[in-house]
Amino acid sequence: MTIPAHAGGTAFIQLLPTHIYTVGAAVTVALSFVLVLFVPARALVRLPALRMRIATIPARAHHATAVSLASLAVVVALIAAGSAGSRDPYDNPLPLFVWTVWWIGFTYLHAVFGNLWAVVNPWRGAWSALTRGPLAAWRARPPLRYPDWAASWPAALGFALFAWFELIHPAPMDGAILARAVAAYAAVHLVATILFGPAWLARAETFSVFFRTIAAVSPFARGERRTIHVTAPTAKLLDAPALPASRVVFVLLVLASVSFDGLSRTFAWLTLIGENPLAYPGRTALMRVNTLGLAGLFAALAVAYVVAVALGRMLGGVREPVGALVRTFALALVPIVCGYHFAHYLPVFLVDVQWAVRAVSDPFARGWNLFGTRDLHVVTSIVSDASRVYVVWHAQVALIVLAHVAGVVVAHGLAGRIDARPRALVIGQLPLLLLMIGYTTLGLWLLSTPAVG
Amino acid sequence: MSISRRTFLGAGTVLTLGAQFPGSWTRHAAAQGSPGPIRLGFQVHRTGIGAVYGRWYERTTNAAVKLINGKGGIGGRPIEIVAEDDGTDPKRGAEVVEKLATQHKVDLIFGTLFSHVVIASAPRAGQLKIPYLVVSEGYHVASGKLNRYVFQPGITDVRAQVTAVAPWILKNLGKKVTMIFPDYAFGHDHRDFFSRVATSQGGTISALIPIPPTETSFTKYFPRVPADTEVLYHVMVGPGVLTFVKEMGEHYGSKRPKIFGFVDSLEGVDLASPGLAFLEGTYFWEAFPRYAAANTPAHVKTFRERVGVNDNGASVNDPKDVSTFSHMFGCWETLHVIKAVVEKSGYRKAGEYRGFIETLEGFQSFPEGLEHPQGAKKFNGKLHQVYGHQFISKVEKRRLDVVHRTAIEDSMYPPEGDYTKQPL
Repeated sequence: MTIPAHAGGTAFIQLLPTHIYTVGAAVTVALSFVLVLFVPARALVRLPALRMRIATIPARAHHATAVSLASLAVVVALIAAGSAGSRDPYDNPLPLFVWTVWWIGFTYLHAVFGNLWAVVNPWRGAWSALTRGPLAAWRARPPLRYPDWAASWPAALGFALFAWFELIHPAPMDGAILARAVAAYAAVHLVATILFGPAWLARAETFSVFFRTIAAVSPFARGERRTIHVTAPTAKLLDAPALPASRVVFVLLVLASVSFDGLSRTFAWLTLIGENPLAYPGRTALMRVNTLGLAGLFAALAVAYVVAVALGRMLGGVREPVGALVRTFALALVPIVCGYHFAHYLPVFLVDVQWAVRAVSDPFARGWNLFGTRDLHVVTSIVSDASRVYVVWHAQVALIVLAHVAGVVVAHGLAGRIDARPRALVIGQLPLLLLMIGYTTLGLWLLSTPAVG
Repeated sequence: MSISRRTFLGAGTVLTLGAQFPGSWTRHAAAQGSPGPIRLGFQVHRTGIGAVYGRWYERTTNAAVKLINGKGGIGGRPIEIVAEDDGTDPKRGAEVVEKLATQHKVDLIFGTLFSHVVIASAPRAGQLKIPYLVVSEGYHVASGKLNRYVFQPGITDVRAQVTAVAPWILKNLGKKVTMIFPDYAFGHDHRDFFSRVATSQGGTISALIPIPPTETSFTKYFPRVPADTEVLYHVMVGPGVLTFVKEMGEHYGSKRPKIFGFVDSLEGVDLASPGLAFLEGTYFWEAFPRYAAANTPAHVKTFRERVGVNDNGASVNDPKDVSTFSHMFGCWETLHVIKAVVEKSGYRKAGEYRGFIETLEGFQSFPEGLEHPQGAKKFNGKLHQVYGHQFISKVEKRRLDVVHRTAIEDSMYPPEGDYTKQPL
């Protein structure tokens, strides 16, 4: 090897006393547990009811249909751009839209503003339009009934495939490959939505489930008669119903995948799998071992979570069955999922969203300048200049800590919902608290340890 | 690809203007059945660990193509760049070479940087019999282990760099050298090439200190540096570099041996970054001086302007974005070599490479100028490798000031291969 790995932004992080940050973060999460004990669990349970109506949506159903149809048109245009546009992944709007604007950016928007995907998904409009016209009979009674036993398992399977494509496939940024993947995904779910009706979107479509899950931390909620309410962030989780098993798996998969994205780049992981991190062998060579790693991390996380809940039940003397507790406390993982997503992707988002703004001006590489942004200079010093790297890194640390504190608070509220005795609330919560402290530590370690690219 | 699109459109403007004049190339060529643009496959590390280098390789390529097309292209044909990202992934690298050759039907392929990608891709170029001009700095081309279709005409190799700076180090910094290097191929190249030259020229290697690639703290290694060491030669790379420098400073304080490093450690990194204060007064090899000086030649200034790099070697539009200045000129010079060879050989279309290859093998030198801003070059047609000047710079006020430029001959070593004996 002649050209070695670039020193990169992580080199600056190595100069920080990161162990002090890690200890501080763990202590903060532990302290938040102590503090929240002073808040009566019943008060927390009532928190979601403390909401304020702030607006009424002026739009009607046909507006939503129009938005969704426009979204479908955008998807078709992006698929065309992916196939026929630039071969440079940073010049083609499809990879930038999918991986940056949508997967990262839309998730950010959902955590802040609530479930936008319910309206902008590209399938609901087509279903509405078709069942208002030629397929009117299917509106009340779709030709196929979505089986209850399927729950959200198709969504979980879909997410596993998506995560594998993102993290392990050799070229997820390749416009042509991605165009085929997006086209296949859109087509499958369009057909399924028409056949099963909106139940398919509610339960089986991966990103309808994903964005709805993320939207639970948003302070905004839809009320009756098109009203919008505002409440405390994550408060909606406190009165949310326990998740079905398939969605518990879904939440754990999301958390495992984002964690593995960080882990798989660390020197520690590469050393473990016998690779020299300074001579990173490329994604193709690591497909098999990283597939095992992703699956292994999911399994380890799932086992740790279930054991923590079961142990807490035992220590707290809670009577509810373990399964019910596992399905309830998974809600407390949702803020952590959001925090990891925010923190993990922040640097790449800040840079790549600029490429997206640039690429959208000339989606088909025809020399167009539709929005006047074609020659925008992408500022990359966000990830290479020490002072900027430090700002971003501190923001990431704050997000991880905040997310875990929110997780602790939500878990306390959920515990109070099940069993408000002090033993259940204090001793019964300790194993889950330890898991969250552990995950905070892991999160900070992932942000701090030497990593490639 | 934006660069292909834009540069091609730029050239289109030239063609349109040209068409207004009788006897211009366009009319003439059109009458003869114009071969159209010359399509150059650009294998670029757009994603993966080479992405920082890839971004600057792309900008430099973009600028060079714009310049060449603005002057009428290559033999009157505009350049069209067809870029494919290889993800800095060796297996994809070979696939990209094949795709460029068979699907995009490019005339030739250039631009690959990372050695493991070059080594994995070169055999495919040889099988497909398409010229493959790498910009890698590796010794793999000159080692004779690749094939007749692989050239490195725009950037010198690591063996030449080490060979060139060794005599200066021994003469000016000291004869007893301790080498600290990462314990894998990159570090081993330095260890072997430098040791060989140094010991043959009266120097001694006081100690060799390999550092495991996964090491994050270096304090335990410094006590192993023998007390009589006059020069500490370091080539640490990766995210531990700043920590390495900081801990070296903590170990030595103000009483230290002379220190010499390779700028590869800090390509794309601001010398004023935290942790690097100890480098003040130490020396670095540079392929091309990052910081402009009072005596910077006009063609280098033009090169900087065209690529969009300021006097500190950083982006004009984002002054905190430091370029990979010691590497990226290689794309610019390679494109000008392609231009010279195509025009001299009369190369017309893909598949007819004998003339191109034999003409390039016949080149012996390239003059310094806007086409070769880094400096004059000598080309060894048997080794397919170019040789040039190397720069030794001293860190002064957190910048690099050139203190010595080696002669081209200083970098020459005994050849180990001869590609011209391989059949075409």
